[in-house]
Amino acid sequence: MSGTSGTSSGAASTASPEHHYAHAAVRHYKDAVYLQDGGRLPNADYHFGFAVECALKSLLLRFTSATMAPTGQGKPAAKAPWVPDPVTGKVSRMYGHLPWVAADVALLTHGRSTAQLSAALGNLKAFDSWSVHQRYLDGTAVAEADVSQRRTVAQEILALHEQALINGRLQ
Amino acid sequence: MNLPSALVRFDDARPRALTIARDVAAEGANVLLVRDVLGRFALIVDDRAQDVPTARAAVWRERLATDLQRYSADRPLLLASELFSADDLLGSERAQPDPLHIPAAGHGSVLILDNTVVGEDWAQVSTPAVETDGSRTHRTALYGFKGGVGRTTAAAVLARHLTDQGHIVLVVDLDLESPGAGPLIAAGSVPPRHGIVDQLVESAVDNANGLELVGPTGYEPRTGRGELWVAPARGRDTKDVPYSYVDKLNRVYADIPGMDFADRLATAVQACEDAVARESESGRRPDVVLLDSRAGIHDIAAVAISRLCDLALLFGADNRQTWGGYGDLFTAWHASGQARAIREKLRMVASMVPDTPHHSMDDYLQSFREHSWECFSVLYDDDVPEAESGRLIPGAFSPSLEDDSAPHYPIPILFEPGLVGLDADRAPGWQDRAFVQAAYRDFLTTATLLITADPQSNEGPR
Repeated sequence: MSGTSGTSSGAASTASPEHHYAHAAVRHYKDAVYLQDGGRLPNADYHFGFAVECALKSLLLRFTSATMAPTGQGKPAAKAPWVPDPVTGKVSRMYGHLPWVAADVALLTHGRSTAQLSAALGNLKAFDSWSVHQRYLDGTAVAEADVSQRRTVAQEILALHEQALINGRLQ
Repeated sequence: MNLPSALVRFDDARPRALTIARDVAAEGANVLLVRDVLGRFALIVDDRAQDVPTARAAVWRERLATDLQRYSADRPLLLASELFSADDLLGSERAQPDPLHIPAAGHGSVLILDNTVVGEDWAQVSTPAVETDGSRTHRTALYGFKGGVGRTTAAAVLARHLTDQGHIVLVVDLDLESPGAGPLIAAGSVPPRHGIVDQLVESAVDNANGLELVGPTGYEPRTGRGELWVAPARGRDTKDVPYSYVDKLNRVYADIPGMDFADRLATAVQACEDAVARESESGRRPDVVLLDSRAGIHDIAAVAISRLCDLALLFGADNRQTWGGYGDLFTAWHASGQARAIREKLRMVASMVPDTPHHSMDDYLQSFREHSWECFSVLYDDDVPEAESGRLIPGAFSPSLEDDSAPHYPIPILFEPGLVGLDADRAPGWQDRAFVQAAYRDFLTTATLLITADPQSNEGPR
């Protein structure tokens, strides 16, 4: 029977991209909470986005066909997880900065236990108005309600990520 | 390359990890031991009510890594206060108490959370609830650890016999990877348009309304009131659209939000029962359902036996592979603390009993009984007196070898070479032949009694 693809393929070494993404996710989240609690909303918002991005990249590399391998011969290691086209082997999708279309990520999941990931991805729309370019802006566009909602979603996704690492599966 | 003398293997890891978990709990904190899908252990210590000194945590972490080697997780020790999801993990419904740990005063508790890729339903034993209208559907699972032991043929014979007794009988073919009960029981009638696999894929996209899941078999019972219905695994081919059985089968095991595979299979069986009430002229629900479960240690069998049925008939021949397989299964039930709950449901069937001048039925059954008793003893209570009091454990369930109502005591079916590989379409009336009647006589009498007796009530496990 099928069902093995919903599980991690093994230990991530401490030098692996997924290891770095996992630890960066927690660091960004904690710093974001620290900033939000201190009333520093624009940068709190910025770090919540990065926390989610890193946690999802960690999950993509562990549980899907996404890879950080060079995208072609003679090219350097990829800067972000990407998915090879099954026929051509070329990049069919590259996961850079948020916002992402949740449906794109959902397409990668196969196997038995993808329900939790799908549910978490449903909340990604909270980051639809988030942009990495916020760091160059004056910060007036950041609303307190948005930051609070993004904190909630980030907390859920980081909890899912944490359990996936402990249990070895997305459930 | 020289390997270290004592490599820790999968089986070594669990007792070692439990020893550490109990030692940590003895220092006062509640702990949860998590085993991941690769078999590696992490220990979560609940420090939210009471701080754990950093030095102690470092000692435990080091011990886990050293004692478990490759079977210690990347982060072998986790403090609940540092987790995002401590409540989800520590409060998980899937976490089971350590069956061998009785905490002393001042000690914390030990929970175990085991993550597997498949098979978790073996460890979740429950009994079906009474229907909302107060009626009760008797669900019996027919299971064989190995295939080819006459399970489906017996289901067909038993189904007709129960129909003759006036019951509304539904046979559900849950042998999805190798369907058989559907064609065998519906021989000579038009099968329904859809099968169990259709229910599973359509319900996942909220499209199960209007499926035709059950069909009457055309069997006319000897008394007027009985009805025999079948819910096949596979539906009927039509001229216009090809029927893609394999493409559907490859999707039925998906967990969907809010419903894991076990929930989905339970819903599918329920949908078939509802369909009988809807389509039958009598408008009655089936009162007896036979689940022809697939063989082997597989999730369908796990759900059918652990959760869907109130009686599981376990088929087998008297050989090493039968007892080895059931032994592994019983050991797993025992290890997950399910022995008391599951033994309530089980009954052994000796389904290939020879009776020849050189090999008498009585000799064969004597040997079968002894092997079966030995195998089932894992699920029975010890009959040795308690060390402190010298008394037997009150209410201990430990039937003797010759107890003919005990789970291990085999119900015999005589082996009939004429029924192996039977093509029911070309052998109408096969069930009425005298040799078939003789082969199944004891089985039909005993199974009917077990099925139609009041199912285990609220008296609790014995």
